[in-house]
Amino acid sequence: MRQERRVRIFGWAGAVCAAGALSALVSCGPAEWEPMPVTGNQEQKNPDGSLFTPNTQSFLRGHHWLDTVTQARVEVGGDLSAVIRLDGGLAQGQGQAETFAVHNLNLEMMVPRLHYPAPASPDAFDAFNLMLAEFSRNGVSVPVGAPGDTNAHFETTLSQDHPWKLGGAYTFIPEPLLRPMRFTVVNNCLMGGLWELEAVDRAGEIYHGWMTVPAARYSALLAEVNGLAEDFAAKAVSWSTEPAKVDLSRLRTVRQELGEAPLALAPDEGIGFSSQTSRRKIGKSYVLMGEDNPGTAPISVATGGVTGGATGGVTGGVIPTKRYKPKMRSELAQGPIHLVDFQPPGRYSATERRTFDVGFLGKPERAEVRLVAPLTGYRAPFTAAAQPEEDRRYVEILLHLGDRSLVIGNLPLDLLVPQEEFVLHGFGVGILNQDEPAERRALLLDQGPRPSFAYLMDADGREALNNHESGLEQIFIRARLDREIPVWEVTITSFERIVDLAKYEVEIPAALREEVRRNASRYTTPIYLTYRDDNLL
Amino acid sequence: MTGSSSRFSWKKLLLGGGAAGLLALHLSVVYLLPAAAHNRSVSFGESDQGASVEAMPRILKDDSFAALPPAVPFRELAPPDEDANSWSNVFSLFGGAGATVFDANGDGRLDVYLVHDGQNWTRPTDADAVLMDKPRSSCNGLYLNQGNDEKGDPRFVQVNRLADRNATFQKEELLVEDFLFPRSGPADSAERPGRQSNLALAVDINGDGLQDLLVGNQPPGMIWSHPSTQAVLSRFVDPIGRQARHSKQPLAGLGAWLVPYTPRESTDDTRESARGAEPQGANSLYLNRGDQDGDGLPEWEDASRAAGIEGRRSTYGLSAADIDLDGDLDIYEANVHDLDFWPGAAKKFAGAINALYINRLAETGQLRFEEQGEAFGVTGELPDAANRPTLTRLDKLGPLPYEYSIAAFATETYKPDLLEIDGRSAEDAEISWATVMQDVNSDGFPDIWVANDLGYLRLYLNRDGKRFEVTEHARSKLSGSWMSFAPADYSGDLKEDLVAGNVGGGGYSHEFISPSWYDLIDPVINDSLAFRTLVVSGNDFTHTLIDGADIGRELPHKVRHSQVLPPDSALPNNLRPMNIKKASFIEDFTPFDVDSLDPYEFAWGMAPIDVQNDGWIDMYWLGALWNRGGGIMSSVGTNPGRLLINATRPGGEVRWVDMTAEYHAFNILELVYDQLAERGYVWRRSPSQNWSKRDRVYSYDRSVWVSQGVGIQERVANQDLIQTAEFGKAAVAADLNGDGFQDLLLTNVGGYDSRASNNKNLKARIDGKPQVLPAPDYNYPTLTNFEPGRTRLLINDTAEGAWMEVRLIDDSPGTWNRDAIGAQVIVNGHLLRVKRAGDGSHISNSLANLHFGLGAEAATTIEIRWPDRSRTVTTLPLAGLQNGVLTVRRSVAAPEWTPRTADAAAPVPAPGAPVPAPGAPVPAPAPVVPAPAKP
Repeated sequence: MRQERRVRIFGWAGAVCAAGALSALVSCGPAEWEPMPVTGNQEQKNPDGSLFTPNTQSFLRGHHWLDTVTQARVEVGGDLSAVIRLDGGLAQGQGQAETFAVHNLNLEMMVPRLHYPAPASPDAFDAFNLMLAEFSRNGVSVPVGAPGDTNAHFETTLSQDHPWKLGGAYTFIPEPLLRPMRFTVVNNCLMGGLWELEAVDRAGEIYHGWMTVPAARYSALLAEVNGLAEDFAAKAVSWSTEPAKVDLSRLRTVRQELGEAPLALAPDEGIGFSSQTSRRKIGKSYVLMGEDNPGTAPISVATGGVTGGATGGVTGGVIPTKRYKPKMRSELAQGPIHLVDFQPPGRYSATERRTFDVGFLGKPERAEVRLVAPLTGYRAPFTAAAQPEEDRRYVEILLHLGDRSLVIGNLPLDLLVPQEEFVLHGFGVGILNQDEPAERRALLLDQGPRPSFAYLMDADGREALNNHESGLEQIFIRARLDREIPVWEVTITSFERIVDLAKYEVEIPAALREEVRRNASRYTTPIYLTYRDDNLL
Repeated sequence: MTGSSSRFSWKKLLLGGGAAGLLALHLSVVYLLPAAAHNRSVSFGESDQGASVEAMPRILKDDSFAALPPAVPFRELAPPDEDANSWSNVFSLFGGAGATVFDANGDGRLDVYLVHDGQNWTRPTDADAVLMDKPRSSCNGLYLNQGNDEKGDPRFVQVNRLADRNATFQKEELLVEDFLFPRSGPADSAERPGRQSNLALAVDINGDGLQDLLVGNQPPGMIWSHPSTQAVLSRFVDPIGRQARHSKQPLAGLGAWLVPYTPRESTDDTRESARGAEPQGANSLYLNRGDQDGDGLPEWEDASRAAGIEGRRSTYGLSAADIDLDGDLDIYEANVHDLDFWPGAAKKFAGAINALYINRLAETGQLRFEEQGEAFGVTGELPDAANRPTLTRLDKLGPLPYEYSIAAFATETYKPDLLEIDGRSAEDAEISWATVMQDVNSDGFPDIWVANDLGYLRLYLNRDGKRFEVTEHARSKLSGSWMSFAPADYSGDLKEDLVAGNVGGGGYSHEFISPSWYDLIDPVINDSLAFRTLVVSGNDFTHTLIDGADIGRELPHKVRHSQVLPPDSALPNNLRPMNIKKASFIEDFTPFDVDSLDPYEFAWGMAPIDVQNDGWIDMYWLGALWNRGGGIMSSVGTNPGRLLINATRPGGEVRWVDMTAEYHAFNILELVYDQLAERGYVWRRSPSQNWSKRDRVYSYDRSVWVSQGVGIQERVANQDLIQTAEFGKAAVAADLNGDGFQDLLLTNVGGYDSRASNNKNLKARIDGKPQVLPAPDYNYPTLTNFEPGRTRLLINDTAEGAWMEVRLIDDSPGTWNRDAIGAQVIVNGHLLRVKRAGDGSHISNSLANLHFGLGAEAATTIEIRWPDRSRTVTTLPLAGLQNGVLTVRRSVAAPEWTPRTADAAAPVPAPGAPVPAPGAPVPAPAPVVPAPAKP
């Protein structure tokens, strides 16, 4: 009897375990999303038929197999690791369908993230932070890889190493089956769930497509990553121009007030750019200035919202124009600037511009500096405890700019050096890079400093404003030790990273100068900014 | 039963245990130890991030350095015309941008002969970076110095723009363009094939008082063009989250993706020219026939065939001296293989035979050479395959898998076999990029230095002008990749020292290939040399400064690095610490010294120069391994140009101060120095392509240009500005504007790798529209518009410091060495200069008066050691001379002094009849000009 009972108990236990295992298997197994249509080549065109985009278009654009892609199929594992398979057809002159799939893409990295523990009762400040993140571009690029690679990568049957065949001296025949150098998945900055797919060779894009993640999937993802209710998460990422009450105590504690520091505009220079793409934007007149000039050919100008139509902005009236390219940075704060609009599904408008008045940037008054202890983290659930132990120190800088103020905080002091700029990729908390190699992002999440934050605020710093409405997007900081009193150089970059709007010098408080000099003498670029192992020298 | 079973079990257990143990041992050898060894190979040099981190260089400030006057920056002049730049690229990656300074027309001013690729196939681009529909033809150009403009700057005009001054002798005046079929006059099209030239040697080869030109050419060839010689790039080592760890990838030459090309050994191939059938690599000897029509342009005669000096190999080095002291000048020719055979990435070796042309002019009165390299023992073909590099690979331990070799660190040295392509074998000699003659043992006979790549720095000691012997010297035990020479008395001890240029300190940085152990089983030559450099210590990439007083030792020296832009390898973190022990097996060998020349970058052209006329010899050099900055092996191979100012105290060890920034002498275009004095940095607009950062790059910008593994990347700090440098080639120091201060002439190679701030993506017309071409291989940076290699004239505006030039004329009977090549001249008992034809600098030469910076002194004595068998010495008192030209004619007791007055810098009228040099220079005598023997 006892033996039978043991057998029965054992049997039940086995059955329960089996069921549990099966359940676990089922629950942990990949979930397949409904296929998403993919559309390529949505950019507007120039009169000569070329695409209106600042990205360099490799001659393979329009010749590549990826142009045949019609849909994407997504499988999501329990750890939010996704496989995105692209379904395409036959390339020109080819008789065999190819395959292309992104593997191990961590969807956790792809959605807006609070980067601090979600409060039990999230409020407008939390929603505001998610909204700022949603309307900041966030992309991850992956290299080619192989089964068994744990990093995000793509696998494909596209096997050609070279972009052309030679048909004679300097006669180039495009190779449609070129294996891309990198493939990027972007959560774009125009609306929740609108994602872009981009393949590049050494020169630039060979493919650009768009797809929309189903709203329910996107909301569920947002909620899971941030520990929020789905309905809150879904609403949070809607476009809003409402100011939000700032609560920096969720992001850091103040360790020491270092007092006020002189703040001044840096010596004027020719207008600058922060990247090659920005350089092209300036070269292609993405930034113009000038008053209305009746009698000249009109262009329409979007005057509201981050994106013209899609997010509630209003496409403005027709403004006749004969405008000019500004030459010096100081000009930008002297009048409205007209920047080429960025519109759904994620393309620059060949005809419409957004107008911003960034005059407040030309009115620096003073700065405040304090030492802080961050409460932010990169790894969900975004607690400080989830971050690695560290002994670095962080500062916060508050810039008073006339009727606005700008707070930049959780800045790792050891990375504010002359050798390189410390970059805040957007306003909000821990905004991620718009086009970051997945290898580096993984390292950033594991080894990076605490997420920094930046807010454009009213004069007294109580309410945060939607920076996109004011035309501000990124901040760069570096120390300058080549003068009697060392300074931090703070550069503010515009909407869509088109142009540097202002550059300030903040005197480094005396209490920190020696530490900044010491940091400079020991500085090496953090690995999460340099690591790349796709074997290219 | 139980007992029996028990005993059996014990036996089984023992056997099983033994087998399992062996299996475990085997598996640990096969899998674990090699992995550990591999990790050791990739991470050696790694140290803990933390207290030991040193990301800034040490700057020596001790008082062993002499105080230096404030720098007066050089001032750059635009090249005289577009032809002066280098328009070639891949087929002439190592040549095609030679420069020679000499007085072509005897007017007392220094002219410039620029050497280019006459077979150029490279297509330039238009303003939108779209490829043109045909190559830009290029040829060699002689630029005659037309005197100074109102600013005191020299005006150079190419002879093809001057030749129509009159209708006579136009063909002869244009002959040095080195076309296969010379032009009859400037009206003839210049779009015709020429010879593929690398360098030129100016020398009065027939003793007529006129300076002739010997042009070194090469047959067609392209590195990495054949599968067996393609570059092999080591992949990123020990990546995170990847399966692939040991794979390597080949890289074909860029040109192979632009034009159809079939590699072949073409040294023996011929083609038609005005000479008849000639070897594709035939050199050219142009005899200067003077200015018979009085238009200021010298006329030339092609004596190559008649003189028997054409050769047929890829010539990169030429030097002339009276080897046998018979009164005429002989020629040593340093060659490299057909470039299709570039063996760096091959498993087998290729070299080329060097040649020694003995002049029979003294014996016969006929300018006729006999090739005597083998008889004199200087071909580079050495017994026991000593001409090939000594390599190291993993030794296979019997039948055991290679993992055992790795685990046991079992290595063997070997000599590689000779490379064959399509059944044609490479020559069994060395790869000689440069040569210079120097009497190292003061026996009066010129000895020969040869700079060999992937091999050894050779010193051939001249035994009584009859033969040479390979001789040991300070660097003879270690192989290297030698490219260039800069002989001068750097220490001020009246013995001429020698700087030899190598890969440089980049070879010890973390970017330098650290091959996987598995790559060392049957390695390509580069990997083996990397292994020998980084682990075995049998190869050395640092430059050397060999003591002229004792060639068996290197001169102790220190360099005070620039605080503005020190070499990357001067930043302690960037060095692989294991290499500090380099060559530890060699007794008394100097270990890597971060405060010396050791960290300094790649060397092609090297120019000794006395910038401030203080009598101490400074040095400028430039170079790049494969391309402009930012390309393949960027932080190993890019040299931003370096000017080391000599700060040696009399009697003290050599001291140099890197003052490249202060003298505005970086080989970086668009560089702005306006913040240097006040803020201590220089900057420029960033290249708009192949640049990941913002619009300006500052000298203090740092990032990481290496990809050798996490542990390495974390500690490296590369200087971004260095990666904006040009692809430097030739460097010549000469007083081009006649103000008594030596200027610098620099050349660069062009390419689709522009670093200009307005560079653009390269485009071709595809489907009728200009479209962007990516790099044909992901290992190349994005291709840009074709940017010609800029030829740069840097004018020395220093005004303090007296000087004297010395012109020697050996007019003694029976002497055809009229310029006294090989003579040693000592002024005031402590300033030594040597007259030579063939400076030893890579594809750079000058033939000018000897230049003496006097500082605050005046010249009171001169001693001349004439290059003859009698070792004649002439000592003359001088009357406190400053700032002029002293002409010493051997047959005349009293030298002639021509003070250089302010008039020297006065504007010279527009091009016309040659203007005599100020102060009535010594008229050139008119000896009988021996006609070359007819074939």
